[in-house]
Amino acid sequence: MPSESPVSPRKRRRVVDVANAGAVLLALGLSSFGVWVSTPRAGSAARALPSPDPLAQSPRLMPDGSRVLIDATGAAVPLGHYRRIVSGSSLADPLLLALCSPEQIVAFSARAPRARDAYRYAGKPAVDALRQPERLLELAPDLVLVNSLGEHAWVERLRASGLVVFDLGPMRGTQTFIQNVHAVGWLSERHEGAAELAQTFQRRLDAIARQLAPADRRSAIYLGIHGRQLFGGTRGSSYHEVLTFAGLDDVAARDFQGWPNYEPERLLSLNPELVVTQTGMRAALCDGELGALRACGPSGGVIEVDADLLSDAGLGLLDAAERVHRAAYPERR
Amino acid sequence: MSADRFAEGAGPRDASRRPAPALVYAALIAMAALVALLSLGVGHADLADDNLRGMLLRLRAQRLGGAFLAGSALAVAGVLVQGLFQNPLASPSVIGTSAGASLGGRLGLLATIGLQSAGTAIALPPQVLLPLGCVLGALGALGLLLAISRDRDDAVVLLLSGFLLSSLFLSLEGFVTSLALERWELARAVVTFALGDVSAVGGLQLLLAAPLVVIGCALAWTWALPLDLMLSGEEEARSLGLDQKTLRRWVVVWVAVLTAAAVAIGGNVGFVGLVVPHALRPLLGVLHRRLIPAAALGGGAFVVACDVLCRVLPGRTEVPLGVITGLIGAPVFLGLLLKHRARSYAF
Repeated sequence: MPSESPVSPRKRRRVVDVANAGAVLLALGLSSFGVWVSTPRAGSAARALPSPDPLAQSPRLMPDGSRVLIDATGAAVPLGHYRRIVSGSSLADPLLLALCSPEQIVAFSARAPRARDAYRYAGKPAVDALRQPERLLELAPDLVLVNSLGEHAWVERLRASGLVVFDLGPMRGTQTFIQNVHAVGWLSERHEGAAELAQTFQRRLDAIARQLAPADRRSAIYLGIHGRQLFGGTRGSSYHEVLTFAGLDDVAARDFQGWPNYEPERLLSLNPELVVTQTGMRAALCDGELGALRACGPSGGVIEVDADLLSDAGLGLLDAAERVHRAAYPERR
Repeated sequence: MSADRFAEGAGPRDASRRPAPALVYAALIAMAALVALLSLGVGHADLADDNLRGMLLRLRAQRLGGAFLAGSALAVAGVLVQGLFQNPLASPSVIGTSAGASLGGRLGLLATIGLQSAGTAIALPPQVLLPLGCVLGALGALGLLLAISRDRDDAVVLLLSGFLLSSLFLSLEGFVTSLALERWELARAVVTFALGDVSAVGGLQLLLAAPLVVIGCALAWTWALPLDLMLSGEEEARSLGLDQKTLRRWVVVWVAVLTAAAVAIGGNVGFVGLVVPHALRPLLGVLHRRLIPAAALGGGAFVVACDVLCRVLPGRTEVPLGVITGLIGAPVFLGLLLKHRARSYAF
């Protein structure tokens, strides 16, 4: 600091250091206090970190006698007579159509108008529930269903706006989907219908490749080709389940999980008999250096499926698995 | 670059040709009030609805608060860092704390989803892990920077250390992003964070960031006089008794605090710390005691205006805030650069 006072530079420096360090600590302390006062206190379900709770599909009895359903964020959502439901999830859209009466549904997710069966959602508004809170408030829903996918701040903001939000959590395939079917069933007071839907869905999936012995299963991987990038989808993703229920052996599942990014060399070392990919990708895969893959040769095959169907982690998974099975085992038709 | 040249960048050399500072402040306050009103008035829903008005205004006010705080923090950090290095091209990111905050935020996201998958419960709500990660990341970067430059009273060492830390953190960010790509929902959250956004700002984020920004701006102003002395050159400032080592240390600390708060609220919002001080210097001159309060107002108003633009631009979803600040900031900065160059401004 500029010197005009008789105070020694060393002492002045110490005063400056103490004052600034104190201000930093004050700022951090006030920040922490702010977080502390706005954090739900102990005992509140919202304080727990979201967990994919397998019990989330069953209601819990609260001390006051009411029944609640715990969502993926750990929040307790009361079971009630919801009559104005908004779906903010592409996974919940077909479930609401299947389980609820039309007048119970106020709006579908923003993806509904672009879905392969978009005509089924016509006549109702589409809204991005997490990112368009004002449009959502205008619709005056009494229940909002979302798949927040890690966007906790958005969910909390909707709750702070007074909306009842049930977060269905990440979409990881049949296990989470069946939980979601039950959850939507409980919340829409159609639990019996939901249980039947879940049971039928699981039974049909299991039936696709039931007759196939493990030794007869052909090796395969899922591959998304974007420019020079080769994206997979294996253990922990719905793509893996499409392959598995279709009666294929997902060879990537031994070394990878989730949505890995493959180098061409790695792909050649996996060298599956079949590659399941999106419509129009065969040329992109087989015309270049990856043409040496077994899947591109006469003994293998590239199975192309509509991108929307293939990436559907809900009811569409059944259709996708059936199509892939028919393409992989044409002799069994 | 010499201090004289830095001073030349302030536009009209004759200070009497500049508007009176009080007039500039009044204009900035009016501009901030105008964009605040726009921010409260513009949205998808209709404020005429009596049932919704209160809630809509609350949502918009939180968003307005987040945008203003982020803008103020970045602009004041820009003034500080440009004054410290006597270089109008310096942005708050040069000392590496922005990259540290960004890395911390990504790690916060990774931790949120990792803990979620493991079904682990912690004492904090999940939506606070990202901003908390940003603050811790920036403070970690600051600690490293201070440790590296501890025994060297040299702005160049500080600058180079910051540059190297930035590069290191950007590489680590790339690594975290590559991990995130293996999980779709995490990749989506990381991309949203990287694009900059204040639409999800709620009370919790505001309470976390407001003390950092308010105290940061206030303490930044206490360093205005020493930074003004630096304009006369390092040698002269030293002869006037300026303790440059202490100045560097604390200016870097406050830049870190301010950028931590800005990244915690809005993610990666670029160009604010570069453009706003540049736009203000021709009006107010180079004195930091004038520039810092003006940057707090101007930066806040700029980001709020950009956020309003995000809402009104047609599109299926809102255009990310970081995209808008970049699209406006880059041409504006280029325009200012060319204008000053025409006046023999040598960079």
